[in-house]
Amino acid sequence: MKIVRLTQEHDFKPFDCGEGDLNEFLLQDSKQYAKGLLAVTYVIEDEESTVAFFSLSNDRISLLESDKATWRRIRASFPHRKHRSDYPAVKIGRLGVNVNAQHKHIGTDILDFVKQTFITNNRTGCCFVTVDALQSAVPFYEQNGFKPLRKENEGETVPMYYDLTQLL
Amino acid sequence: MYFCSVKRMIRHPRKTLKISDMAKPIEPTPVLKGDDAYEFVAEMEKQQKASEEEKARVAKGASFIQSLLTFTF
Repeated sequence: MKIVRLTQEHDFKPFDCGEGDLNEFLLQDSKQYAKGLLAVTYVIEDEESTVAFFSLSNDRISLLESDKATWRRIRASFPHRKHRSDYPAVKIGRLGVNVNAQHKHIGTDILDFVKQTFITNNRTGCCFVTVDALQSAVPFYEQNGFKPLRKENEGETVPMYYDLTQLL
Repeated sequence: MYFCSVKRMIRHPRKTLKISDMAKPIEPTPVLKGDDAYEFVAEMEKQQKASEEEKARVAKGASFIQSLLTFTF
């Protein structure tokens, strides 16, 4: 098995993770994201197939600055803390594991790799890992220490985050 | 049926590309407000350090992926 950084010349080996959106992203969109410098995709493959892939991009967690009432509440509750309205983050735009390789901890290993990389080799400053988790994948991310960003979520995905500072 | 179309896409990626077939875009994380913003700060405030066992587990998982790299990350 090996990991390659996706290039425009990359020849995809067969991949099916059971989620149409993830399959489509890898096979149709990932090169366009790379070309537009929007996201970088890393592909794990063996001799015969694509085992897994993940895409990373820059992100941030922002608190609405015009929400004065909430800011008053935050400052009153945590007066000693230096408050920011933005926190830099790395976003896992997509993460998919081939159905043949699922339940072998490779997804968890990928998350661990992202966490470890950004606490030991953090070149631009980033303190959170973010992800828009499919509803079916929420338990997986929770097991890996991710928390939901919002109490109520509409739509197919749940925005979640992992605080990297806990690993320092 | 879907699996067949994936196979076709692998062989002829450009010929089968349609806007309607494209995956949902990667979107920035939504801006937090109200209770969600407050809870986010509260969670940061009470965030505890990971245990040494958890740190070691993360490092071990990461080193497995690191061993597969064909480039410098």
